[in-house]
Amino acid sequence: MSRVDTLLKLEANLESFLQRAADIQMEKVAAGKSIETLGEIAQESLRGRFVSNRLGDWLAKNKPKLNDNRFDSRGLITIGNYLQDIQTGLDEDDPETGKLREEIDRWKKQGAKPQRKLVLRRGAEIDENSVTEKFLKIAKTQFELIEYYKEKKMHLLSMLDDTLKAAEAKTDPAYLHLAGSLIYFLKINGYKVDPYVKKLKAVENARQGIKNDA
Amino acid sequence: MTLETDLNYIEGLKALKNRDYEEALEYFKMSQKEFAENRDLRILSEAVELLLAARNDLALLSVGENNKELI
Repeated sequence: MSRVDTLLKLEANLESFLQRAADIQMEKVAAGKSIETLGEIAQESLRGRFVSNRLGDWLAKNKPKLNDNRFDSRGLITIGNYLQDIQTGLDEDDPETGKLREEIDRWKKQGAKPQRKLVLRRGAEIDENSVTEKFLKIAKTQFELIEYYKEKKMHLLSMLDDTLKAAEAKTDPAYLHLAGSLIYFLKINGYKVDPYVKKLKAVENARQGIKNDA
Repeated sequence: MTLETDLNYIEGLKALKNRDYEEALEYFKMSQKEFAENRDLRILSEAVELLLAARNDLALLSVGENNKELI
């Protein structure tokens, strides 16, 4: 084979390789962007906003990618974590929630399982309904929320602001606990927290009012 | 910023699909940090360089052949 023939063959093979590699990398980019969108939906959900429609659209649009194994294992874990965040905040009064939960379960079965760094194990002697168990559950949710905010590189004051908004919109007591904890920490570190204390009290009062009305 | 959101990397891939290899290489060089840490992507970048080098050699050989004909 002459030198020209060798170079021509090399050129053709490299072109073929690069075109295929570009296709694969483009698919990875598309998968990564989809996961980012789901992350935005999770963030909206944590802020107490209604996300059922966006979540439904996202699940439908990305199902082919799941079925075609376009998400790698790390991506699936991230999806699992985001879906878990969203699932806890779904509006139970919305008739679509049941369908969304079923769909999320299908995603989990296909590999989108949440995986958190901290796993709190319950001792066998602890009663399911004990106060300790309740506290552990709330503490675990708080830890997960802080981890989530930390991943988003949010300042503690922004975390507090978001947490108070979520506490206002959701019934989960973990948000109120976390807001109280953040306020105390910021206070002993010299931050001005009066407006946040007022907001926390307003949320507590509103919640108390709902309880009394019920 | 992740690799998937690195605009230079994405533009590089688009240039690759358009077979504009010189432009692709320029974009990949702007994403150098990600490419240095990722073996697969380093191979991609090096393959583009190799292709451009092969094309350059072919062009030089072609010029040499033309000169011979003129002599």
